[in-house]
Amino acid sequence: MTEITERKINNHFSYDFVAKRVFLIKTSRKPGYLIDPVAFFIALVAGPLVVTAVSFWILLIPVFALVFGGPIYLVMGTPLLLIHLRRNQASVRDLMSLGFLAALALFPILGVATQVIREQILFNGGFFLLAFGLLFGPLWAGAFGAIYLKLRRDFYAVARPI
Amino acid sequence: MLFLTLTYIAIAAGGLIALALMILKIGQMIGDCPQSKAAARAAAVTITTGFAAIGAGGVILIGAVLPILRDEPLAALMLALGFAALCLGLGFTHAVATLRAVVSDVMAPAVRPA
Repeated sequence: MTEITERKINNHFSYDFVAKRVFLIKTSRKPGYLIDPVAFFIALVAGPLVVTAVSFWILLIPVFALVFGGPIYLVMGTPLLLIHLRRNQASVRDLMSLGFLAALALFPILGVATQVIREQILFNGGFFLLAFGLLFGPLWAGAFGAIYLKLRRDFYAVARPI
Repeated sequence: MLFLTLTYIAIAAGGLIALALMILKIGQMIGDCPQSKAAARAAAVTITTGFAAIGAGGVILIGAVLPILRDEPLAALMLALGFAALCLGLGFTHAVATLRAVVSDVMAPAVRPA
């Protein structure tokens, strides 16, 4: 009996060793967070709308940003926010930097896209619009974070082994 | 186009209903334990309601993209169905994780942040 147990433990140890040293895989994960689905979806839609409602008087730029950037925000922001909130405690500051980095990451993507498609108008117009993304990305993500933190129930604020 | 839409709605809604029923069933299985019975049942019903509502919203929103690929109906159908299945599956795993967390909270309440 002891032998079997020992062998099992030893086998487990060797797998662990291989995983850690050879493949550089972390075998123990830190606890994560469950996402409050109601708060998430309300904040996802309301975040950009609140920013637009508060700041639409600035030459209507936020309104155009909502029209041009809204679809990109939904397609790119939804999975990024889900992954980020799954691993980290939500905070407005972290989410704002996430929004900024996501907008920044769009520049090389557009650069590659223009090399493939070769349309000068896409290049000029695209980078002009993305520059606004560097401003509105963090703003929308920050508004999202504030609303999410406001609406999230206590049950979802606890780190769990998931 | 009508056939395409009906096929999409039938399959996606069928998947949604099947997954919602599975959450209820898992809730019932966990509810067999006398200590966590009430909490598991109540949580299962609440979580299923939320899953069904949010899932239906997602299915309809993905369906709204179908007309964009009108020239390639089969590709549109498969893309929409695949994406819907992915989203529903992610939602389902999240729902079950929540259910498990509720039950483990009943057994040993988690420490809440101040």
